[in-house]
Amino acid sequence: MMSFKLISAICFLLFLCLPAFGAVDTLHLAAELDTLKKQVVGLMSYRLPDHPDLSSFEFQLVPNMYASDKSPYLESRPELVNFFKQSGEWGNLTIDSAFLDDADITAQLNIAYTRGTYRPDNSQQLNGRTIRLYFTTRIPRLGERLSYFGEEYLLDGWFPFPAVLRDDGSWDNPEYGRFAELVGPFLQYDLQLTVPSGMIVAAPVPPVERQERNRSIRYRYHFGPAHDFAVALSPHYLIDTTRFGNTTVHFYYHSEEQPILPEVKAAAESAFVYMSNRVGNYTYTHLNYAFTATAMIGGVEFPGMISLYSPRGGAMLSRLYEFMVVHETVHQWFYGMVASDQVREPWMDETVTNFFTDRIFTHHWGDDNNLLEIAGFEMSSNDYLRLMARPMDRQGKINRPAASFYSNVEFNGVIYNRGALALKTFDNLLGDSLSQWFWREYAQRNHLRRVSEDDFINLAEEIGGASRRQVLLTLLNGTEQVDYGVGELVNRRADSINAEISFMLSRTGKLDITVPYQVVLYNDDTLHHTWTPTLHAERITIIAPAPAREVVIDPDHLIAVDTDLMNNSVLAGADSRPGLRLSSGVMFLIESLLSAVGGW
Amino acid sequence: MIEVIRHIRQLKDARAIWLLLYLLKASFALLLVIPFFFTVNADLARTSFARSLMASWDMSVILELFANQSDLLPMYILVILIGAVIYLAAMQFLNGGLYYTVVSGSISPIKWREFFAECGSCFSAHVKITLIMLLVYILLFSSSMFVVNLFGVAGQNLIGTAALIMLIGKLLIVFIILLAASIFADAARATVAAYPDRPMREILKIASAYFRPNFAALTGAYIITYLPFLILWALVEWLALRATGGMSGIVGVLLEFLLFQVAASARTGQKLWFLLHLGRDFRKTNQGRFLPQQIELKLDAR
Repeated sequence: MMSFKLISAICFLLFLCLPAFGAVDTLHLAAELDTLKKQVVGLMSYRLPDHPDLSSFEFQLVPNMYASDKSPYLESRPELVNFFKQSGEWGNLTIDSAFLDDADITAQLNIAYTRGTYRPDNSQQLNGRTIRLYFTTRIPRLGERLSYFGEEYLLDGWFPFPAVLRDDGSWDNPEYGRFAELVGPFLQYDLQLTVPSGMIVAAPVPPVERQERNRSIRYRYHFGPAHDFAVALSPHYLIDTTRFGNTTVHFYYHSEEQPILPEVKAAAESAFVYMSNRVGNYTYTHLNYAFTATAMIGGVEFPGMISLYSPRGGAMLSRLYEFMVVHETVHQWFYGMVASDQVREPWMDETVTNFFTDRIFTHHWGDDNNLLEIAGFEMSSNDYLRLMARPMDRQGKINRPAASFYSNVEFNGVIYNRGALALKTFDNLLGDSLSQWFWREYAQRNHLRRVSEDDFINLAEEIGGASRRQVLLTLLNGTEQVDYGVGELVNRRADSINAEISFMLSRTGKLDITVPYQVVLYNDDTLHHTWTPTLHAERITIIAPAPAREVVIDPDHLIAVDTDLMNNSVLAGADSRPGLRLSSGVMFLIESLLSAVGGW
Repeated sequence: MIEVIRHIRQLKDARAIWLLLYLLKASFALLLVIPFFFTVNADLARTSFARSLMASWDMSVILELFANQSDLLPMYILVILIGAVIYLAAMQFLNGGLYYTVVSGSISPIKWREFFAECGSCFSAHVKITLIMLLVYILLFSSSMFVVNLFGVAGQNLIGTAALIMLIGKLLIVFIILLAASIFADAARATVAAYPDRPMREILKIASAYFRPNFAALTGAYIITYLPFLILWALVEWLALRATGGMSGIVGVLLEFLLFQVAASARTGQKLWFLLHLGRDFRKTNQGRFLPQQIELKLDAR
């Protein structure tokens, strides 16, 4: 009994000491939204951690991405630059004054673009000291993550944000260039936000305190650990509340969006349930979806919160909007709970997320899931990935920084779509049970942690072996097209009973893996084989009881990155019906064009 | 305007012209699609991957096909555009006979000798009208886009269904503006048929004198003739999908092809129906060379 007490006492002491090493730091914020001036003014205070040794403090001023046409972030968004030039309503964040404990350090701050640095002249240790930054954030009209339009607001990266602290005491303060997204440290938030009365706030969690003042309301939120805190505000929000398992889910919408709400909720729930079962439970108590009016056509993910652009009617004619809802929901796992560096390794959240989006569509609506559903056209989520990825087949490797992409089409094609096909190939080759193990392990080990590519690749080796590591590296870093094909099918009589079947199997690219192929005979039997390509092409000869009607390589499309699926099968006899049907449709199109041109 | 419904009966009398126009369009389309068929069939016929195309417009097959033949795609488009220009030229030739027939009212029986004589004699006038109208369409399209964009600014706060209705409204505005120009072109061609010897400036004057008071009625008549075609088109699309989905074989493909051709010929019939109405209406105020010859009785001579 005595020893039990002793152990308990030691454990208690250890528990008291542990926060100094493992606890998440708290960021305190008190801010007020001025809807007249379209700005936020406030005070951010942050106690610098006790470890490691700190001789400087760095922070991020994300709104400066919208500060001028010289902004590296706006390089890839000329339409936004033109819009800001016309309206004159750029965004920025200015530090009005700064204090280290009670000492005024405003003059010693060094601010360049989105990077703020304080480095004391006397090389004093900063550990345990409290930084206070008084700031004013000007909200751009129709920005992306930080935006106002009419009475609608989306605030992300809207206050000075600590940079990410490395183990050696240096700060990782990213350069927000093209296609960058906010990279923040995991923090606990104690946040007070004052907004005009009547404004409804969509935040990651409900307020712990609500205080009505003269014409304004002050909300207080406790949230974390999370690497961002975004809010959406509108006086017109209606709220729909539901539960996904133990999580409370709020949908903030306008009356115009009500008709599409059932589809949005269904898509969100399907993604949530799939990810909870396949990868792991959702961490936070609440999840929020808010329809926002910004310049971004799409969705934006934040921890515990998702911003969806208003579909403006047309988008819901297809399932592409639901595809986006699923995508943003998956981000709650890969971005929200498993964070990565979205500036240097954007594939680690976008590629993984789009891979799971395709998986969820296939899981819920089958391989033939249809994103279009218009006039008999069919396009599955996989077809969509291929459509967007094909033009980017030779556009460099997947694993590279966001700023290395020159256009939105290239970034989307490579990171979102070609990347998702690459991961799908890797996942298919792992097989279902190893895949489930891999993703669960990856999510558990890196829960509320920032990961790097090495974490991912090392785990792939640990679970899939060296061969799968090699496959993954080839897929992520390869720049060659991958194509498996079959052709030159010839049937000959071998003897009075058997037929000799001969065909060519071929491979292009460096993905050197064993693939299955099947031979379908005229007597409806199917022969299953595998091919380990040692050469780029090989003639295969089989003796079988009947001639072959068809040979198919990779019949289950394991190699999702295969650039040409037409040559994955070969028929013994020609079948012109598909060609005739397509030509009949094209002829009707031409007739319609001629009617429009000639009037008849 | 309601008269136009009665004029549908005349389509029966004009079936020879209807058939001629439809066959001309179908032949052009067939000529343009044959090289396309041979090219794509070389890829599609040898792979089981294309089989899904028999049941639906499977984008996976279409995407693979065009991704593999991406270099051929601009060529197809160029060939189709050249074909459309040749068709447009051929139609300028036929317009002489067509408008002569609808304005003169001598539909049944068709006097083919006269028909083709008019084709030849009015060819240059119809080419001129086409060139003028091309400019008009370009100007109207840009100005109508300007107008709808003004509406767009007013409605930029709209979202959801309201925004979709706004979009449809915008498209309707553009359609009606371009439709008005198209009806004016028809009036100008009818004027050429009635007054073949007049210079172009005068033809346009007569056409606009007819067009201005009748604009609303003619637009209404066009919409009345267009609606049955739209319904038929939607029906054909619906039936075609069921034909291929239900009978995935060559029978389904043939049935779908026939349905498409029904829709294509209906479009020709729609325009002919409208022109039969316009021709009759135009002749009421602009008889031109179709004015019945006065017979001099010479009573005093007896």
